[in-house]
This record gives sequence, C-alpha cells and structure tokens, in this order.
Amino acid sequence: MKTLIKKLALSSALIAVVVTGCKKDPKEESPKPASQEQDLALVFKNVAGTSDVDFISAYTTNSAQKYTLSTVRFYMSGISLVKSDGSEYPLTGQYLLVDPSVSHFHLGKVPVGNYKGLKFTVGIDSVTNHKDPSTYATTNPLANQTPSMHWSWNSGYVFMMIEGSCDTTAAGTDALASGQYHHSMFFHLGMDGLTRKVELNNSAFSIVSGTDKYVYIKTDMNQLLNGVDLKTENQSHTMGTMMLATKVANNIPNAFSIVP
Amino acid sequence: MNTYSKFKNIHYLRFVGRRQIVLLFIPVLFVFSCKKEPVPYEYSEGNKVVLYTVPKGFPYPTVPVDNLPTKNRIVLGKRLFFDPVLSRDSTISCGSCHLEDKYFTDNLKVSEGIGKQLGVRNAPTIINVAYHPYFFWDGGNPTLEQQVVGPIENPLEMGFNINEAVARLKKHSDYVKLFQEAYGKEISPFTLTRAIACYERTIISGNSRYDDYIQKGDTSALTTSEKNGMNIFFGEKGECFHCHGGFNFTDNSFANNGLYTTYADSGRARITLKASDVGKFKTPSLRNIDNTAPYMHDGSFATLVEVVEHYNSGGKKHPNKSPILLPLKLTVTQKQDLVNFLKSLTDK
Repeated sequence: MKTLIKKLALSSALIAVVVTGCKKDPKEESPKPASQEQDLALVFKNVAGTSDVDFISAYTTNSAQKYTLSTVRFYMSGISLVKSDGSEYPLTGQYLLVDPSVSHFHLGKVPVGNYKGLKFTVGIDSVTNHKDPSTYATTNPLANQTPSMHWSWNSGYVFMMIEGSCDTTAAGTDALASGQYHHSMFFHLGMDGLTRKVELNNSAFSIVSGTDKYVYIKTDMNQLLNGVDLKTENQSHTMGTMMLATKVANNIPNAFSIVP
Repeated sequence: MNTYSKFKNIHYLRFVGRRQIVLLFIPVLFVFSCKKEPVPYEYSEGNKVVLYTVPKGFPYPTVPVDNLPTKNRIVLGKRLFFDPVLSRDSTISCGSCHLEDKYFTDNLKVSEGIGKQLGVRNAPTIINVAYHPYFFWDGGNPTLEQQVVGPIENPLEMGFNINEAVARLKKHSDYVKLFQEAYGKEISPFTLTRAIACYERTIISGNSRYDDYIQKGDTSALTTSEKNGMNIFFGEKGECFHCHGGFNFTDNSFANNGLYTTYADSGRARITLKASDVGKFKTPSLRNIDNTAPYMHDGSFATLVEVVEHYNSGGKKHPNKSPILLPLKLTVTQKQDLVNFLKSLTDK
C-alpha cells in the first residue's frame, strides 16, 4: 500500500511537470523590439479599366468587346518585398488564394522601412503544384477548394480562374439576359510553365512602426484580356487551347498594379 | 531545456528498473495530450494493420505510410466505393462504372455519368490497381489516393466537389463514426480519398489458368492452342510481351499503337504537351482481358479478335507509333491461338 501511494505521488509529480511543459516559457520568446517590424496586409480588388468589378455589371475590353464576370480567383506565391535599395525581403511559404470573397490577406510582421514595391508569382511552383491537396489542413489555400482549384486528372492547380460571359455576335449586339451574355466565357490557366512573375514598382511605400500597413493591389481584367478576341477566343481549360491560355497568362505581368 | 528532456535526464535515471517502468508511461501519455490533435483512436482488431493478399508470383504492392490497410479502413472504403452519395445527384457511385461482377469494368465503350452524360474514355478495370504507378489513360495522376478525386469532380462523371461530398457524408452519423474508427480523424478529403484507395488496393487478382501453368507448374492447365498462343505472345512472332510483360502483363509505359492516323484524344500529350506523346496511352494489364471488353482507350474494339487483327496489321501510320509494331503475318490458326491464350488470363 505504501508503495502504491509512493507510486501515485511520483506519477502525479511527473504529470504536473509535464502539464506545465505545455505552456510556452515566456523567457524562450525573444521578439525583436517592436519598432523594427510591423504587420503587413495585402488588399485586392478587381477592376475593368476604370470601373470596379462588382460581378453584376457588364464591361468592355480594350477592343470594345462586351463581357461579364462571375469568378476571378488566382493563386499568388513567391511574395517578396523590394526595399528601396533594391534588396528583397521574401515572405517565404506564403500561398494566397485571391478570391472576391477573401480580399484581405494578413501576411504577418515585416521590417519597417522604405519599399519601392513587391514581387510575386501568379501560380504555384512545380514542386508544390504536384502535391496532394488533401494532405493540407482544410483552411490552407492549397487544400481542396469549393469550387475546385485543382485538376485531379493531371494533379495540378488551376493558377487562375476567370469565368463569366461574353458577346460573340458579329455586330456586338448581344443583350444581357439575367445579367449574362449568351455565350459563356472561361479561362482556367494552369500547368507548370504557365506561372507568371509580377513586379509591382509603380508606387513606392513606407512601412512605419506603430501603423499596420495595407498595400492595395488591383487586377485589371481588361489588361488580362488584352489582345484576346472574345468573339472567338473565350474558352480555355489550358489543355487543347494552350495558345489562348498562354496569351492570357502573358498578360498577367501587366495586369497588376499598386493602388497609390 | 524543455520539460521533456528534464524528464528524460532526471526521472528516467532515477526510476528506470524493476517494476517502476509502468510509471514512465503515464507522463508519456500526457506529453501527447499537449497537442490539440483528437485523442488517438482506440486499438481494436479492426484497426490492426493487415497485409494485402498477394498471389504467388506477385510482389507486395507499395502502400503509402499514411494509408496502411486495416479492416476498418477497407470496409469503410468498400462502402464508399459503392455509395452513390458521392455524386452530385446521388445516382452514380465508383461501382456504377467499375462493377464487381464485370471484373470492375462496365463493358461499355464509354461510361454514363450523372444526367446520362457520356464520358470520353473507356472505364478501365481497377483490378490490380495497387500496382499502377500512375492513373488514368494518360497517366496524369500520380497516386491512387489523388485519383479518387478525379471521377468525383469530373463534370461528366460524378459531377461533384470533394469538399461538398465530405460535407454530405458528415450528415450521416454512421459515416462519422466509421471514419473516426478507421482513421481516428473526421471526414475530410484526406480520409475520404484514403479509405477508397485502401479498399481498391484489396482488388488484386492473379488466379488464372495461366498462373496455374506458370506458378504451379500444372502443364495441363493450358490447352495446346493456348500454349501455342503463349509462345506467339512471348516470342519473336508476336512480341506482345515487350509492352504486356511481367506479372501484371503491362510495362506501365505509354505507347501509340497505331490506332488512328489522327487522334481525337491526344492521350499522354494532354499532360506533357509534347507532340511526340500524341496518341500515346498507358499500356493496360491483360489480366481478365476476355471479360473487360470493349478495348482501347475509347472502347473502339468490341472483341479480342478485332484487337489481334489490329496488331496483326501493324497498325495505322503515325509518327509516334511504337517502332515495335510491324505486321505480324499470323495465320488464321495463330490468331485464334493468341486469342485463346488471352482468354486463359481470366481469374478462376
């Protein structure tokens, strides 16, 4: 009996030690002084030329062709802040799924200072692109999405998904019915090799201590569709229409800008 | 120094030995409980890792470490495989096109999905799928687990979304329980794809008369005609074994077999985007081939006689056609012998 009590006492002591071990030791955390870093968030919005995209209205391309939008979603990775001296501060491991329903992305703390812009890739690197989406936590943007942003038939992500409708009539006389033109339009860009690097240096900014920084980025749909003849070039799953997919992908670097 | 190493260095030295060992395990449990993971699922007979039953002459298949087979997982996977709840309108299951009594095919040129839509490629058998290094006729998908999402999300097949399928399954309390029992985790794209793949790997077969002949040395297992066909198949006359060799009668490569001069379906090139891969498709296994008609990626040949005629002709001209395919100049008897041999590959 005595030994049993002894055993119980010892094990409770051990448990106590272990349980306290769950809490983080405040001494172990050594945050940098608050003045050195500040929170950064990216905020996205879609525009069509000078109009904001509201997913209800119709828009006209640079070549005066009419279209509507129901979906604009894309993956952004390889984000790096470019300091005014040209050096870069990479935000390693950040994958964003930019979607009209989620336009704010908090990227954590970055060094305060003066920046001339930022760089990123639209799409996903070829290693990550072929991993199994089901192995990610469901909250991870790389996990299986609804609607899907992954092609299970070639195990790769849809880097950019643009869906809507367009006017394909010869005279440009199609009228909206229930907010849509009569021809459906979609561009699903993916496959390794269709990632596109974007460099935004149109508007320098500073990150100062004590004020969270929001960098506003706009995506110009008219720029994405620049040179695309919507009368005939309006549907691409990348496969089978690689030329068209490449044409749209090649517009990506010029479609983004920082809102000053 | 963290708590765990304190425990190891101090208490371990003090207590190890004699009958005190049991005490060491108590804190270990608490260390694990610090993590926010759900409580590990209980050990039971159903959660014991089992071995897949492999026929003589077959290697043990490569099984991913995150999906080792257990009875609970296999039973759950089988139920999911035959449950139409995984399609948008709850009409089509995996088993609708991979019917157990039809050697896991549907014997149709192309299969019918939700809303009576027709697919574009022939549904292959899933027998011995545990041995496939990649999936679909163009090999675009790298694992059996990831393959599961393909038909569920293909708009012409089950037309659903994996997350929506998960949400629907979560409404069934029995599934919630079965997933927890099988994986110690809730229903998710991860556990859903793993359960189905776990079941599919059980569908292994290598129990034909040909196997009796080769593995058991039963010389009476094959008829004279079948033996003649076997010699054509494995010899220089037919050269069939170059692509259809090995225990599963496939080299798992991609080949253009001269089916067309112009391909409506670009095959492997759909994945690689290389012109040199146009018209190439995965070499299928020939096991149970007599029961898995029609043949080819588009189901364009209805009978084995037509297939043998095609290879006897050497195929149509195409820049990517396999150089090994030349006219065979088989006699009528030899063609029949070859067909007869192929029929001996059916499981008993």
